[in-house]
Amino acid sequence: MSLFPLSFSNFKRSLKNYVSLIASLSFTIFILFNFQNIVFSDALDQLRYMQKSYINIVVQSVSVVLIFFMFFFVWYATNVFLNQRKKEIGIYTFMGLDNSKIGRMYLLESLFTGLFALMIGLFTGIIFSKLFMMILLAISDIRANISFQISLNPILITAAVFLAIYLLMMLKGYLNIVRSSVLDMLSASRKNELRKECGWVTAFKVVIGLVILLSGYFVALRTGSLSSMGYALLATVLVIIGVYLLYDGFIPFILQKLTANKAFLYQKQRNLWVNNLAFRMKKNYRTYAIVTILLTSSVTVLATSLAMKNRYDGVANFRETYTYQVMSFSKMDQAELTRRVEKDNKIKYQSSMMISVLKSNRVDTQFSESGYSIISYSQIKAAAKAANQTFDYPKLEENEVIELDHQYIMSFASDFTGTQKMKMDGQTYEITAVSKTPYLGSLQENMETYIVSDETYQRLKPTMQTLYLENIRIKNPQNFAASKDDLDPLMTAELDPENSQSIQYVAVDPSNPDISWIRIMYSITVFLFLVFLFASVSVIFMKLYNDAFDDKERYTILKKIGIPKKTLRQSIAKEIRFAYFCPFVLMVISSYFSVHALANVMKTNLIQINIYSTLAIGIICFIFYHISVNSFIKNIA
Amino acid sequence: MNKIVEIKNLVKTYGSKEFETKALKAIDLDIYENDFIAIMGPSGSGKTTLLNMLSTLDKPTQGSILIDGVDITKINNKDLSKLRKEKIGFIFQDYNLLDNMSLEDNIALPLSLDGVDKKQIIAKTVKIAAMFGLTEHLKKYPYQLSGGQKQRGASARALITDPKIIFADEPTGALDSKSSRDLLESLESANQRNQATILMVTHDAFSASYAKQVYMLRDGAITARLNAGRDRSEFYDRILKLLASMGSGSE
Ligand SMILES: Nc1ncnc2c1ncn2[C@@H]1O[C@H](COP(=O)(O)OP(=O)(O)OP(=O)(O)O)[C@@H](O)[C@H]1O
Ligand SMILES: [Mg+2]
Repeated sequence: MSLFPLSFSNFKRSLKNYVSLIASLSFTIFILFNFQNIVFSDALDQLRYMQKSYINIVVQSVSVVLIFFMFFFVWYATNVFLNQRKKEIGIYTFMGLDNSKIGRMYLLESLFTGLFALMIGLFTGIIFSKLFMMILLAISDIRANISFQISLNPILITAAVFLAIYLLMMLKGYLNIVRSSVLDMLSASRKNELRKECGWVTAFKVVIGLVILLSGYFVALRTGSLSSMGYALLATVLVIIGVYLLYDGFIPFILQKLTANKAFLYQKQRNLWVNNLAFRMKKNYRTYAIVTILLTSSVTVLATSLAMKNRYDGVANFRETYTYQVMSFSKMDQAELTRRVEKDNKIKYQSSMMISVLKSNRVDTQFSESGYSIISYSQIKAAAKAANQTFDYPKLEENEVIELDHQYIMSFASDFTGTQKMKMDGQTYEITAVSKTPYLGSLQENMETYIVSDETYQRLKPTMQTLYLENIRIKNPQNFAASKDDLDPLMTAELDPENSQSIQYVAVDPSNPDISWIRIMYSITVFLFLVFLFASVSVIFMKLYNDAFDDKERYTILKKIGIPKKTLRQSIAKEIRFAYFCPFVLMVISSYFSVHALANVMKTNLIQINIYSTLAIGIICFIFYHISVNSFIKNIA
Repeated sequence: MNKIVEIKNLVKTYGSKEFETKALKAIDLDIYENDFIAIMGPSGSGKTTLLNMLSTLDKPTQGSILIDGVDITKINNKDLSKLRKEKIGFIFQDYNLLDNMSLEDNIALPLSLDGVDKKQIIAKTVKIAAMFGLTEHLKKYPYQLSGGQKQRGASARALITDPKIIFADEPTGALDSKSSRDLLESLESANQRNQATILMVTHDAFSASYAKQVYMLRDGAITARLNAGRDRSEFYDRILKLLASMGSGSE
């Protein structure tokens, strides 16, 4: 008998059964292709030349993560379907086919499935590639013209990676079939469903699981600054083990207790779905645990990149405040500067400042910096008003100062806490606040500046050198280069404290290429988050889809004994709701703690991540829940 | 006595015009309250088909079936499932217990899905399990039960709703003689003590001898009817004789 036509007709006939396998394989292909497409397109080129190394690192690590993801996802999907197919294939043994022939038939059928999925994945990937890239760039806030161009490289790489993984899994399935007996095959999908274990093993798992999970949460709460990074790691490990044991111990234990409590069980449709859940938990707990952990980690990764982006925005903010900052040690002609800038640009606002510079040996603080400067309260207040910044600090006393700080991208130093002191010329001042608002524009990043009361300023000014500052913000900061040739002729070679006529300026490029890789990283993490979200949810979907095949017989019986369809539908809906929302709820709780720990380390507020991710995952779960219920009902009909 | 099932001119044909199988040809049959009827006949004679029509699993081609005065061939699906739920109990040849719950939960299933008071369900489950001799097996899962225990479990599940009428398709088909006897005695007691009406399809003359009447089905038509006498073994002999005269013999 020729295997090819038989396998092909098998494949065609059971195409319906393969739908979810093909859908999930195509999904991974779609994702990998789109990512590769971005890598090979010229959209990132303009950024890449600016920060080649960082962007390449980000892109490469994401590629590795995606390939790993593809590997496990394909593994999972093919495994689920191998079990289902084995039962069907086992029947052929009765038709006189030997194992190796059946194995070859499996290989052929899988090959059709894989190639079909590859076609669909690449096709949809190509169709949606432009949309996909537009979304990614929009999230990254990058302006680039994307043309609809498809190069061969991403297609080839995607196909090669997928086929390599898929063929490996096919081979694994083949060996599995060749080595198993008929009985194994026929009962493949029934394995593990009933596994009784001794009472004390369960009790141990329940107690240990809860203790580990709760202590993981507790440690997460204790995670504070960089020094407690070890805590964060410990918390992660504890939560992962805890979640795993929770599904292996506590939840089945509760379900067992519920099925034993007949007063609870014999109400509504519980006798059906609670029993079904309890019966399946032993087989499905790993899936639930993996999904919960995957979701929690992707939320945490998302939170990390948001924290980075918050900092990025903070830094960008410094560059946005003033476009040109002109410095000199003597008073400048503001009208002249204005006239020159207005040749090519419109001015949005401007301000003048006097900053007095101290030598560091006259200052004594916790940290040592090379130069310190002071500025008066009323000057900052006036400039802030012009620049439309909030400035709501109360008037300073003689001995009070406000420290002007700036945003760091890569620093975990702890923030200002409690009262701190600084000493200037032997006199102690109390630092009443630390502000990260860029009152001094980008200069604030390079100077350690304190706001002092007007009286203090007047008193100290004569003993210091005064730096005059003209700040100009133009309407369109992107056009900063246009006024350069008008300003340049005014400038001296350098700013020399010995020469009061020397004058210099900085022109700020708002797009800050040095750290723009963070924006890309951020949007790629959002993208990865969505990928993992879909992957996790589709793992549940596949599981349920597979279970529906097992349940077919049960529901036939129920229909035969006269249980109304409506009751069955309600029971199915409740069972499926648990499958999606139990991991969801655990994810919400766990990610609350992990994001909280992260927010502590990064010194930023990330509660929005908790809210948005909960909403996003909730919505996706809700949609998949409905699809699952429908396909489940269709499958058992 | 009340007529509980009234079958009039029941016809069932399978397949399209050219490949038609007439599984049932104009069956007329009245079942009264508290009847215990056995339907016998050779393989392919239409027994399962008849039972499927009665238990509303399939629709007849022609004719009508009145259960408790309601024509089940004409009512809508919602009323149909209500009728099945409230008045009919089914026992199948292949047990059909759910493998994912204990025997106790299997038996309680129809009531528990029907919003009956939980205390009542628990009490009833205990009672009916005792009737079928299953008390000590209640906590077991189907895979831990013998074939006979499973069949008695399925019967207990069919009877827990106190159905007015019980349809059983070869309930003893897969059982040995001891288990068969246990089951038949349970059915008999349901018939005598609980006033249940029973319609049972069987191949087996011994099983049929527990009934009050035996109908012979052949090529989709009722060809003979026997009434039980005082003594079961005498009835058994008469059934065997009838089967022999029909040339099919007992199995
Ligand atoms: N779904 C169907 N489609 C076509 N023909 C059918 C179908 N179901 C039953 N038949 C035919 O109807 C006739 C009666 O079948 P039925 O199953 O009622 O027999 P039975 O008396 O129950 O036999 P057995 O004792 O072997 O169970 C048979 O000839 C059978 O082939
Ligand atoms: Mg039959």
